[in-house]
Amino acid sequence: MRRSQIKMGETMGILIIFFFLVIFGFSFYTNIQKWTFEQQKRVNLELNIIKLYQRAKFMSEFQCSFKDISVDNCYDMYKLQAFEQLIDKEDGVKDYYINMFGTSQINIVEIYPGNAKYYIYNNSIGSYTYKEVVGIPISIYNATSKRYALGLLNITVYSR
Amino acid sequence: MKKAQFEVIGLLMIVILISLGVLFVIQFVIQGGNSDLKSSHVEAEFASSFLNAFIETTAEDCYEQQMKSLIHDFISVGHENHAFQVSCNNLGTPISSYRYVNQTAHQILDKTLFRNNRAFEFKISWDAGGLEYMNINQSLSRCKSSLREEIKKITLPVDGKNINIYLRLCE
Repeated sequence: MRRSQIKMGETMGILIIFFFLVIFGFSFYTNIQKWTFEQQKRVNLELNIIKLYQRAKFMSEFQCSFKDISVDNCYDMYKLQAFEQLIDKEDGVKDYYINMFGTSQINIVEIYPGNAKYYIYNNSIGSYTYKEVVGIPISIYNATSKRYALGLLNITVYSR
Repeated sequence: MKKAQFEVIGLLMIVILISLGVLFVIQFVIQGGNSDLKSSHVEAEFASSFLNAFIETTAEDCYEQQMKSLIHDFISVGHENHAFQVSCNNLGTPISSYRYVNQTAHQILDKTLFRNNRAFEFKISWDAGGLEYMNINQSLSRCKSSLREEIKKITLPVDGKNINIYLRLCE
């Protein structure tokens, strides 16, 4: 082999390694970007569920109130029942809440002493990529018997 | 400088660049774990909401008393002095308010934290007097290695004592 051929071989080798590194770097960068995007989606979903929880927590539609003063962490049983019927039967009501709760599901389950269930909102999607669930303890107040039950406010958020 | 020295410097630069790349990947893998945004917020909310909801809950069959009144009762007459406490469970075999609160707390925790296999501690105590009236817990050993824990307490004044009700949640 001549010296020039060896030089040529060296240059080719260097070029191959260089392109290999470029391709590897590019695919690595793409994967990192994809992963970051997925992470960001997840963070957004988490922020969304916190936002929904805050909204549901302070909704005067079902919050307990005594002498026009709302009580934190307390839901009125009769308001929940009325809301359940309203959102289910009245036209346009669900559409209004879609803007507020998006693709999520909200229900309240009594865990002590009874086991009543209140389906507040349901706009779940069939095929989802991510799902986040939270269950926060709340009081459910029965204004007739003046008793407080303990329940869980369950919120599920879906994302494609 | 000789040619060989230039080559050594070139090799060193390559090694430094590759090491930097590896360090970047390692840092990314370590730091880029799951976000704890939701869990930190939800844990804090869960603990405080649980305590507030628990003390407000009306007993199923104990003269329409709320848990806070029953706690007040067994602390003011002495938690081991069952005979002088309000006699609950008026639908079945009577039990003292202390046992009733304990049983109810278990019942509620069974459907929440026990079911989800969470590491937690629920405690009613008088810290100033060094007295612990009730302690229900699960997998507390996990709290030692836990990255985050949430402790919430509410205070009930009973006969001049500040009774604390705690809920400690570990990741």
